[in-house]
Amino acid sequence: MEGGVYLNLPKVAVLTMEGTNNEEEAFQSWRGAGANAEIIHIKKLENKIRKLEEFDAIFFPGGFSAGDYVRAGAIMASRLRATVMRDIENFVDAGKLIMGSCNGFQVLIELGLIPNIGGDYEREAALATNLSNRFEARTVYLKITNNTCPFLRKFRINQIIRLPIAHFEGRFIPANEDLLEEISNNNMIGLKYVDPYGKEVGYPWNPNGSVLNIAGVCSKSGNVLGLMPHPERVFNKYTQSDWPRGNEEDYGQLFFKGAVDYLNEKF
Amino acid sequence: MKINIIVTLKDNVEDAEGQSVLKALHLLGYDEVSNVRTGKVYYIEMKGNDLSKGYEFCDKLLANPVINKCKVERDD
Repeated sequence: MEGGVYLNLPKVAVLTMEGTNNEEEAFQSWRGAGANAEIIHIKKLENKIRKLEEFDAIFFPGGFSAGDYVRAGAIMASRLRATVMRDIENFVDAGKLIMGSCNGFQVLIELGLIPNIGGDYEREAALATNLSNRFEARTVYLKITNNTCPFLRKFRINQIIRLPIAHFEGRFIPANEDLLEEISNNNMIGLKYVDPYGKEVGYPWNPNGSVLNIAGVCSKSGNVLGLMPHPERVFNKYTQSDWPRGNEEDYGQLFFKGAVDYLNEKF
Repeated sequence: MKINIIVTLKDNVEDAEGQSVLKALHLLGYDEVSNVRTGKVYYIEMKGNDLSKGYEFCDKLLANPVINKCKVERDD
């Protein structure tokens, strides 16, 4: 693509540090959806070599940031909280997009960006160890329960999709019942684990024991999405397990195309 | 000063690892074990005598208050 055209594309920062992975898939997914993506090490943000305000979207990739020591996502989040939290808050307030998948979702939870019902970026939820006490790595069925969030706008409500998961800490736990009610009432649950018929049932369809089968949560304003599955791993359906057997859409790319459409309209 | 910070799951949070250990102990024949809870201990050496710093470490990094509780002890 020529440089001049390239400059007009929405700019996306795929944030990385030691232990993250999937940044390459995320980079390719954003590029494939029509964004100008860059992989940025958080050290560059900490040292002010790069600034978040240069970008229209941030993606937190999966993996094992800082080796998952202390708690999944905790070290990456605490480093960002100590250095660029105000920039992240301004980013959210400006209506720009933030997405985190798997370890990225764990970072968003630890940063207090999801669910952030109180609006003060306190930690209001946790992604605890799977109830199976196993690393669950397989394809899951998901139901789209909210398509107002830009990342989910290309899906139909109640649409059943398949995405890969690979995590040990994915059990969504809100701080209390009132908070869970707020999350539900504000239509913030984006995706739920279901069986192939769309029923919300237990293990193994709900791979981690998440409350209300929650797989992904949007912020109240919709511009932040955290989810345990990996859309970036199935941008094209032929990287989906069993893909020749089904007649499926390219589920992964719909997340990124929805986001890029939104950014093109808004910025 | 040396301090130990013990981070455990709150009592109302199901401990999947603890349950696995409990099952394993039962398989080894230790039927007298009725419950197992797991946690992490951080052994920290630091300057000064301010034990409350340990709780600050918990708040800033070592624990998520939604699921964890922290105990800070002097270890001299």
